[in-house]
Amino acid sequence: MTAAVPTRPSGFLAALLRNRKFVAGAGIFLLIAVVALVGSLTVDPRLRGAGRFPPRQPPGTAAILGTDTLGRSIAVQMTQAVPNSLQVGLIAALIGTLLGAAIGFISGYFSGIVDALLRILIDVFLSVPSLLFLILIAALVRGVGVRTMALIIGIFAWPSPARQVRAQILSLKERPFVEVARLSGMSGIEIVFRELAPHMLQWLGANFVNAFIAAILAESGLSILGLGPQREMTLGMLIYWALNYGAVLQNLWWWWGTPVVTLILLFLSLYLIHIGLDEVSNPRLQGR
Amino acid sequence: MLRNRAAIAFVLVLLVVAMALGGCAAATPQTVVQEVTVPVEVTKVVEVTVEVTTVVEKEVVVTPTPAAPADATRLETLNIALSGQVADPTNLNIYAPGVSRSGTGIHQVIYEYFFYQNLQTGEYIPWLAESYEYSEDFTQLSVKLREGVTWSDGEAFTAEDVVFTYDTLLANPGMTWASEVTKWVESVEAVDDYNVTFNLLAPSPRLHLNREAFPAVGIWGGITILPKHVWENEDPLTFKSTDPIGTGAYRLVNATTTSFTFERRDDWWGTTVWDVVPAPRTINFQYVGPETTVALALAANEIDTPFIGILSVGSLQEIMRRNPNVHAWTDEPPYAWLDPCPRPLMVNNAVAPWDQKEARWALSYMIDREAIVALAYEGTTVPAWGIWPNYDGNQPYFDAIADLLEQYPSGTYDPAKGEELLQSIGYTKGDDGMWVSAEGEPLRVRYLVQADSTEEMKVSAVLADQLQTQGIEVELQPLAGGVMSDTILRGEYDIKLHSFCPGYIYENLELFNSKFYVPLGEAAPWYERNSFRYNNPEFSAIVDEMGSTSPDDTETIIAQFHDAMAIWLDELPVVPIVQAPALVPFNTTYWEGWPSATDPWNMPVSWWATFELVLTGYTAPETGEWVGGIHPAGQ
Repeated sequence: MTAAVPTRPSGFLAALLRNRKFVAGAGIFLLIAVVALVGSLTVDPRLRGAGRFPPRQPPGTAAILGTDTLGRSIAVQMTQAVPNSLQVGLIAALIGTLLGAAIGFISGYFSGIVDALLRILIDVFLSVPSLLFLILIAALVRGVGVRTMALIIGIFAWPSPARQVRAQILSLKERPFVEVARLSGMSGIEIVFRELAPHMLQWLGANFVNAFIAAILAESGLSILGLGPQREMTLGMLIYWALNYGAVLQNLWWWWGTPVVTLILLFLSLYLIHIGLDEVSNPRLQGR
Repeated sequence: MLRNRAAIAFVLVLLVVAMALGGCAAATPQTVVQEVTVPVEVTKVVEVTVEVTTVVEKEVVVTPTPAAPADATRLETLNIALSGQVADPTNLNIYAPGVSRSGTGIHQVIYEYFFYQNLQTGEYIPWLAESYEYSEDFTQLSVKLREGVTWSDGEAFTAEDVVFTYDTLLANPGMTWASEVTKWVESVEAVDDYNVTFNLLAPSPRLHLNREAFPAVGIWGGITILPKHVWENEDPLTFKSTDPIGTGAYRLVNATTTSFTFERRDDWWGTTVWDVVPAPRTINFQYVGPETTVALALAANEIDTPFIGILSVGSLQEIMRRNPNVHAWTDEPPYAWLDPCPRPLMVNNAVAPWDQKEARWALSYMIDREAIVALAYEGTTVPAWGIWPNYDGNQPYFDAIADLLEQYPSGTYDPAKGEELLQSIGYTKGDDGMWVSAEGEPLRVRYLVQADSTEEMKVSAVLADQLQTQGIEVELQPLAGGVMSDTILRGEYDIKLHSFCPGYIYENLELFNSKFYVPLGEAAPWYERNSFRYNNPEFSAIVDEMGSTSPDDTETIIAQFHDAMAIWLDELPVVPIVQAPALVPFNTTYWEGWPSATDPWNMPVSWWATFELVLTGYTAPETGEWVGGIHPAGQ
């Protein structure tokens, strides 16, 4: 039983901290998140307005990351955009993972008609590209806010984890310890959440990170198409305004460059965290 | 499995970056086009097969030769960039509420009008009509129609069509602008096939200038005469007129949500009467995308001129740097032509607290117009204190109310005054710097914004910030299309930036006449025709008096203007913001003869019905000579 890791969480954490990819990813991620969060809490809200800085300034002493054509500092906008984008990722990934896990657990443990129905549901959602739905919904619900956006993305993030959790549970529930639990009088729900769920935690963690990446990506994609939260600032909306107001044409590279580089770094860091988690919880991958 | 998913995620990362840089990629064709310029003369002669001789002869004279297009038809095509999409391209009923007349191209090239006004030259140009004459007491207006005018389906254009159109407007108040017709016109009679008489409800010496009651266009659009034989058995509100029959020089050949294609009619009556053929064989009104896309298309010679409100000065400068064939009204700052429709902020006079003049004045004092000009308009315009363009002709009127402007400084930024006024109506500023009413309600404005207008979006960003900083909570609501026009007309907003047309002294005051007041929830006659629900009988009486004064009696009109403005400025039904700049460049790669500051023969506005005259030129009423009209480059 190599997968005895869940019984030793401290060991798991130690193993994670020894994983260079995880440490590098987490480091970059924390750096971006902390800088943005501290910025959003400390920056004077009055600095967010148009015309607080001279317009079209390249990065320099007046504004660290330059300003846009309306005289707004890019750095100040980033202190709103990054926390908002992270919020979308967090909410959507939480909804997707929890919903997916719940459906997967239930479908996998209770075979028969429940499983058949849920499986069909999962298959239907898996086979229809979610971006299509997202574009449709976002176009219909114009004027969405950051939270609504996160909700919309989240409710399309569950099918993939659901299917994988179901497959795992199908295998786990045939193991002897489940039999023992059943014989000792535990109910089905109890067995699912007390006996089986702990075995899935690491996998769910990795999936969560993955869903986080996907959600930030979906938000950016929709926003760049003009379907984002028009009244709030996210990384996607920052790119959208930059593109819409001719930043590329007028060579205001700092305007579109800042959110693009930040997005790349966010993705890279989350990807590294994901690989790290994956390697630690699945020792067969180590050293590959 | 997991590794695969991670890898997919990484590919998606790259995709996003590619998407973000899409604009960069789009910039590349521009360079290519410039490189092609060299072998032009050879290619062009080969490509033009039919008119070989003419082309060759002309080529000798040419200095700047047009770049060889990928497709020779481009030489005969005029491409105009629209500022938004059209939700239902099958509904081209020019009188149906919510149908765009200009965003579809129909009032520019399908329909024509009795007279056109050239605001640059002051000419009143006969077109479908030859002349007009008022009766002694100004209660009748006789119009002589031009003979030989035909509809695009071959039927003759006669007095019957005029009578039919007015009968329909009088019977259907739901048609766009019908209310203004109902207000002035009692009936229209056909004297014979080519003479009609307008019987007026009250003496009106200026019906021939009233675009909403008479088929004469100065600014933007006018009452449009419909072909009786097509419309007589249709419901004028629900008829879609998908294939519109007009008298204009073009016919519609294709319509989609993003593009309207028109083709020149060889049987246009103007060709017979004046021996004139408009130069472009095909005209496309097309939505190519937001500012950057339009800018790149102009630089790449794919677009000849854009609508108003798309380009910012930064983009324009970049286009002009990349493509020397792109010219604005002036080639130096401010680049823009002064549009006659200034941009005030409509404030809903029927909704608390904005129904109190103190609240509207507080708004006015809290708006820093200089900052809006500098940031949102990038210096291409100036702040405004009123709702009229800064034309020289208007100056005597402005001078006459100098005393009032001193008393009511409507263009002034003075937050302290604004705070005083808000306090005077019971508002207090909370610890968080936001205003609350005596009942504890926060002071909130619902700010409606046209989502596909770069201009409105930029102004809203600056204006919303200003108001928010002053402690007013701003709820931005970007909308577009039919929903937008419906929301405005029903008065479901607190504030909305809007153009106030036609910009003449009397006509713009008349927009505030109580006759157009409708309760909240009902559709107002027009956006600036009081969708903001101003209602003051005393003011309206003065305006009515102005309307029945002969336009030549300037002295009386100036006195009436002073009286009206004493009320208007005191109440400030709308909050003036800026003069309107029209930042609309022309590309001379394929077409030349465009109006400009150095040759101001016409107005540079492709979204007005007067644009047909930019295409064809016209007979100058004074000299009888043919002036203007665009022509292929180098000819």
